[in-house]
Amino acid sequence: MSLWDWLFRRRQRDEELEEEVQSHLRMAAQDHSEQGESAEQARMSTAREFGNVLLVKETTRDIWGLRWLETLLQDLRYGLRQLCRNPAFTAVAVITLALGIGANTAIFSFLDAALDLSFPIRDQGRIVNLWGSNNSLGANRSSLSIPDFLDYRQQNRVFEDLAAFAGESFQLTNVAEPKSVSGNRVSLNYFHVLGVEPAAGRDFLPEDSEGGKPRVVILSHGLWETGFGAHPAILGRDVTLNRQIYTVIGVMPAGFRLFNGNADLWVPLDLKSSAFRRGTRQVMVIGRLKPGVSNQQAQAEIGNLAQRLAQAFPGTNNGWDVRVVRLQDEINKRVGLGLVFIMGPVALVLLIACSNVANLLLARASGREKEVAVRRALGAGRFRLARQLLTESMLLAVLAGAIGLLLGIWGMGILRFLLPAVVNGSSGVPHVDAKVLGFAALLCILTPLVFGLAPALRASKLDINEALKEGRRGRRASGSNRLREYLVVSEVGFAVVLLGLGGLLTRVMLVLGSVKPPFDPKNVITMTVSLSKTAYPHDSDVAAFYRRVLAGAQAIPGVESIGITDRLPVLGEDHGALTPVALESQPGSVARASAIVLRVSPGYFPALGIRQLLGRTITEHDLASAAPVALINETLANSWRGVNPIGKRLRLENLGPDVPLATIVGVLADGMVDHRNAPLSGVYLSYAQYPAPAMTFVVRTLTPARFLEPPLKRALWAVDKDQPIGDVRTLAQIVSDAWAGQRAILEMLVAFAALALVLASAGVSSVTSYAVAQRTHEFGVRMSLGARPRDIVWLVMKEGTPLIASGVVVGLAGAFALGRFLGHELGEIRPYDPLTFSGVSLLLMAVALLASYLPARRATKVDPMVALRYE
Amino acid sequence: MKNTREPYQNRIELLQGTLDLLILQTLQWGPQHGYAISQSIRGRSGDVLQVETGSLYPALHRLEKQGWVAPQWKQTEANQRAKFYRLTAAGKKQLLSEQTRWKQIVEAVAGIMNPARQEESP
Repeated sequence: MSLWDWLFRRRQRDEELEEEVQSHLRMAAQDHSEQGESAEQARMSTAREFGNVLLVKETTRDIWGLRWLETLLQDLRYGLRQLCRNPAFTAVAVITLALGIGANTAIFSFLDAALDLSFPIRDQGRIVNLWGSNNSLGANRSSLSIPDFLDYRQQNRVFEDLAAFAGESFQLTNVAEPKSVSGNRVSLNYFHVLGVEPAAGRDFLPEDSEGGKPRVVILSHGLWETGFGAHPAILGRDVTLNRQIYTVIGVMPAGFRLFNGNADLWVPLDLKSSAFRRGTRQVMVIGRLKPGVSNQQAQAEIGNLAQRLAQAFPGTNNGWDVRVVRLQDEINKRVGLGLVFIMGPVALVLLIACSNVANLLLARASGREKEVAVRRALGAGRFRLARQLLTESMLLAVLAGAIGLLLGIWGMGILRFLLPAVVNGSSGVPHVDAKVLGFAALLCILTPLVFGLAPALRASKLDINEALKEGRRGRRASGSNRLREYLVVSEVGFAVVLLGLGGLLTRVMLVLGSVKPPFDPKNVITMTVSLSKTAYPHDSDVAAFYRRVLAGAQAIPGVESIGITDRLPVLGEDHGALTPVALESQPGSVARASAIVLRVSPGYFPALGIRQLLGRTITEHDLASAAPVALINETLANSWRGVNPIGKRLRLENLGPDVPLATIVGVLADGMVDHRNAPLSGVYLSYAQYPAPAMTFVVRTLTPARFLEPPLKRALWAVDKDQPIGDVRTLAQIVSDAWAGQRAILEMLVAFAALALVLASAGVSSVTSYAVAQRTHEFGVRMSLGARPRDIVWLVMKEGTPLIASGVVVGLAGAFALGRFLGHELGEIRPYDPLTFSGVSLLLMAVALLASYLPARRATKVDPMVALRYE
Repeated sequence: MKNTREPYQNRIELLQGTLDLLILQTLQWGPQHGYAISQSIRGRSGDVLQVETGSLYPALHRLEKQGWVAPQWKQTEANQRAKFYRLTAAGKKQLLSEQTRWKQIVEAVAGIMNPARQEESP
């Protein structure tokens, strides 16, 4: 039976069947009248013998039919009529669901984009990250040094190969829009280890790192599109990076992003240079395990090697170990957190929306009892009825899904705006694709099962005899009410969970926000510049450039003070390794610690408002020719309590043994924080003595900070008109960007919690209204017998309050459990934070009670006469 | 559901699949229309087997769909247009195999209902 046949022979077959049945009836009637019955009698007995003509025809038609399709079309037509007949119900249900589906779709698209790690890496299970760790320094995700990397690579027997990479910022010039691009220097086997090949062109070859050969670069698909207009003849073209010419040899496939190595271009990392020091931990390392080698085996082997290195090079490697972490595990952890924090809450909102619609359906089902009973009496099967009701639910969900998708697209716009700092990388933008559409479609199929199944089954179990009796009144069978009560409890519970979670995180953010950063972020603008080795080959050139720009910028009206630094004072979550430092208090004895090391100019401290505590500050005279000096901050000084650091010599392990030790000349107040707003140990060096090519200008202004952006740029270009300028941001912006991710998640959570509160109270209100409507008659009687409005209200509320209370209790239990799971993410806030939870409970009780009070009051407005007549 | 939809007290529920056999059997003496088939089965069983139309017509159409009977619109003896069903070659084959199967069932059931012979045999 083909669909074609069904579509075009159906009518003919129906007509033939009708004729066949009619001929049967005629012949039977003829036989009866031949036996002497009157025409009327004959017709009656024929009809009795034949039975239900419609049913016979229908079951016969089933033989031929795509019966399910016919039924579905029938149900859809009927469902649509039902929905049109009751526009208020339809609108409320569709809007409720659309909000839920829209929010879920938007969030899904965001998560899908942010966690889009689906790029196929060959045998991803065998890829591991090697993290340096040092317990005494509290480091567990540190980079490795290149000499260590080379030793591990040569000596291990567990990896097919190890690859190293290091992030670097590149200035892309000689293009329509010069810009700063984040790239990676990678060992030549990097892509080979990952098992990924360029989509066009070739991978790096061994000769690519040889001197004298042209420099080569591989571009990301995104950079090829945005930077070069997806030009087809990109291979072999020369591009200017940091003022050096590179030849493009390849373009990676679209969507290639590595979990912890987001980059838009890759250039070879030269491993042969003898300049690399064992103390300079500057590369991240990935490895591919040999087949059959477990993570534990690899950990044991690398751990042994690390120990051997620590014995051989105690000065740089003492205390350092290596952790082997499967890439898949890191991805899973991140996806898991994303699910708990983001997808979980929004799924709860959808569940609440579903309970609300289920409630509406139940209420409406009691209005349709008679219809259902009549249809049952006419021979509709129980399953058939349930299916019909489910089809109606499905229709609701599809309508809601369509609107929800529109809402979702709108929501994605909001997310894009909210989350610029979280969603980085060209492929990480929330957008509608097949996956997102599929997700929305899945919701349309799943939600009606959640909200429609129970009401449909309930309606199909209806007792026909009871339902068909006239003048039934009073309480309905308790089963339906019990279901509605469960729904209210669960709705309130879900809302409490969301509010609790939102409350906890709000408290965390408030605590973070109430801690003032140890510098004054107001009216400070920053501007990052990265000098290339070609234009500024020597340290002295670099220092001279910055000295000249500083001098020029100092003269700009509105500049109060100006300095430079190689690191901003707000450090993100992955601020990299703290540098190990050692204080030579007495010859032969050293006190170790670890700190963030910054190279700054004298103007940096007044620009940030960092106070001097002891000794002197860095001055214009601390030049390359003078003895190197260092300042330490209060936190670092406190870790050497009992030692007066002034005049002591400080060794910076990273800089190698041949660099002269710096003498500590002063102690400053703390001047930097990490992403949790916790103070960090810091060491300040003079940029003139330890120059770095990439620096950030930090300018305290007398006018609003943004005004100074153009004159600052002019001052820089006056020194070197070809020098590209990187990031320009105000310090306030940097501080707020550092928390943007957490804040965005919090804002989303609070929005979801608010939505949950509204939906849950709508649910409570609708249940109460329904209960009131059912008892109108009873209230009429009571009031005519002298009950006061207060009594009626009490009567109604007495039913709802225990439900709300048990919902709150269930929800609190859930929120506790979730809070415990979050554990250390909460910082100082305990997972059972009494303030949060009592506040949330009170808020929800108040709102829910109000939601049930309003309909209860309406009950008292009933005119007893009308209520009694209402039969 | 306790409503009484049993019009005939002495009706015997046909075994699953038996109706198909009866229809094919009836049709081997020539094409017939549905009414005649039901009358024929009723008459030949001495009014014991009442074929309900709700079973007869689905069965006929099922056999038609299988290709065991072929439809044919003809005039009856009383000069009325009716849909006749004719046994096809495939239908004849099917009838043979159904007959064999029926015999097996009858023997098997008889063996269970009359166990005496088996118990005495060892």
